[in-house]
Amino acid sequence: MGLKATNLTKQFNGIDVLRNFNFTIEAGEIVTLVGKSGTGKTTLMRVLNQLEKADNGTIAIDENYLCRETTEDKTEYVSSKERMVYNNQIGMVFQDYQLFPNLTVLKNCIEAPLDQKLLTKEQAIEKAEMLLTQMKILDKKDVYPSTLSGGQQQRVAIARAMMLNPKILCFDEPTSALDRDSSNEVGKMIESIASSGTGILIVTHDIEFAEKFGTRVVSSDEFLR
Amino acid sequence: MDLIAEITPSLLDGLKTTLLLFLIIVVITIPLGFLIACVRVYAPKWLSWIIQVYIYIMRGTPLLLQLMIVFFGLPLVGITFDRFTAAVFTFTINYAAYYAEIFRGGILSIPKGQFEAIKVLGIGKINGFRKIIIPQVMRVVLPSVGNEVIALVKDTSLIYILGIGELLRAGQIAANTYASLIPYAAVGAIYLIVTGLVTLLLNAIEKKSNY
Repeated sequence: MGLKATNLTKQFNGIDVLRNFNFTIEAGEIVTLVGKSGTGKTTLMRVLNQLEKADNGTIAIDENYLCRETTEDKTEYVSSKERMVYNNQIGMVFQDYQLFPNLTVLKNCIEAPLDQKLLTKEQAIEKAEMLLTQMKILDKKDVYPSTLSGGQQQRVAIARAMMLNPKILCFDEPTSALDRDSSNEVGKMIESIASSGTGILIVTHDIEFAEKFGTRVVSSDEFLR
Repeated sequence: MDLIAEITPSLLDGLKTTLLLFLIIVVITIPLGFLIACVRVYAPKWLSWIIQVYIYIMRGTPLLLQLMIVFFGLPLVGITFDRFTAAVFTFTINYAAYYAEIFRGGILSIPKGQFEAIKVLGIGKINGFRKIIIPQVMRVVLPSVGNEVIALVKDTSLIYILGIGELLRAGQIAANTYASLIPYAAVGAIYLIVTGLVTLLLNAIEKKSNY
């Protein structure tokens, strides 16, 4: 079980980026997505995270659909309530992390589950502290993101995404701003997240990283067939 | 010294009117300007276009002329305001236009990724805007808003044209009565005190909104 996308098609400025692309991420798997710039790797990730709309195809995580292919060669998105259910099954760590600069590290983590009324404040804080401990950044919980290094911000962003218990967690270029040691460190953290059953998708230019930590490497050459 | 004691009551009387207008306009126009900015950024094109025309007119013509049109011109077509209402109305539509442009710049300065992070985390649009976007916008716009607030303190003097007894007019009458420059100097000193206090307040707010 995990994420399944079938017949995915997406045009960008009139050019096919994805054409009848079939793709899965199983629970606990680390899929690394490699390929040249501009081949649509990030677009695929953005489609899966509802930041772009697919033109055609079916996307689902377990039994929760985001969109379904119809007979008229179109895709139909599910209702906004169902999209919300799908949304919480998938998380994303942005290339530039996009922490909220006006909120402390802890508040960055607890805002989403509190806003969605998934946890009480006490539960949310407890969970955030556990995740921040796992990410080795608990000592920074009361500071603002601007005081953190890039690597530290990334770990906060991972903890923030994990607050919603996603079944699938996506990383856009997680090593682009890191040196080799830090890359290995974040790779190990990703492995430990996957070992608890979360499916991972990593978009990266870093072939060495992709092969070292990916349980499966997918090339963007497969997007167009 | 005697002269200063003599003119102080009338200057303070004028100051009251000046401060009253200032406070009313600050309280109304900052939220209103923010609202207009949101509409300009997020509403359909035609509405955004209307707002652009409004802002162009407000910024492109003198406030003094706008005051004259509202108070002396509109009665010719049957719309009559009393003096102070005319002043409040004109300052409101004028300053809201400036604030709208400041806030629009602030909203546009927030990276798209912040809105995307809010969406990906499933945080509601309104709450996300209120708790995450607005505080960032406020921080960006505070220095420019501060400029406008200080300009407003001084611009209130323009209502002398409507015959309202605000600070500058009180000073002018005193200067004429006593054939002296001292009332003008006193008026200048009072403006400096008021803008000084406003500056201190703005600095405190800016410090508080730091993160």
